[in-house]
Amino acid sequence: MQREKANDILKILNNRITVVEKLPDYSNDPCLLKKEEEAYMALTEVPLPDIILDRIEGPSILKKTN
Amino acid sequence: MKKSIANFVFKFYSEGPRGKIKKVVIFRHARKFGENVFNLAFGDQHELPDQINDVAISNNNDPIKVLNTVALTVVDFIEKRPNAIILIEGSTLSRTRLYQMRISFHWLEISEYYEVYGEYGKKWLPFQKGVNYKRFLVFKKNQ
Repeated sequence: MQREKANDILKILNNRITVVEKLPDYSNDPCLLKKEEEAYMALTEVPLPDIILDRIEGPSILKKTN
Repeated sequence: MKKSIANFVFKFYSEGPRGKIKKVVIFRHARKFGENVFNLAFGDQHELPDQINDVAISNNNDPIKVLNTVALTVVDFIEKRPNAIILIEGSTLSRTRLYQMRISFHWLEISEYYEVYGEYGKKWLPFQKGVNYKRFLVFKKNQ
């Protein structure tokens, strides 16, 4: 039942989204830079559980050994 | 709703008494945390084309619709990147609380497909209704 509901949502979503060539990348946006700092604090100061650490792919400052 | 070809940016309009307000959702790649870690940013389109305003108060009488649309961008993003881990935090405590209320409201559906962890008291804990978290990490459940 819930799976059907989720599939319906995805169908609706795909019909509503238009893919466009380019949107601004917002790479220098002050809000995003602030969020990046907050994310750094959040993820480095509070240890992540193994279930999340194990899912992180590639090199990461959060892993004890890379 | 529009999304960039790289799928990192979504745009849609809030429509209400205050007119059409352009909203932007950005999944910022947080590479230093990992290849599959992203930070979600959401706000109104700023006057400058490459900036957002994440503290704007639209008062356009459609906050639930807007938040549901943001949630749908998360669903779409994770469908395309099933290994993604997304960090979500409101720009204010009240907005984070609002995110939490929407997660609680849809928890039955969300919990079937996604893992949600919340930061609470210097710990990341599996999401539970009724707990006020500072921020959230969302990723797809292993099926």
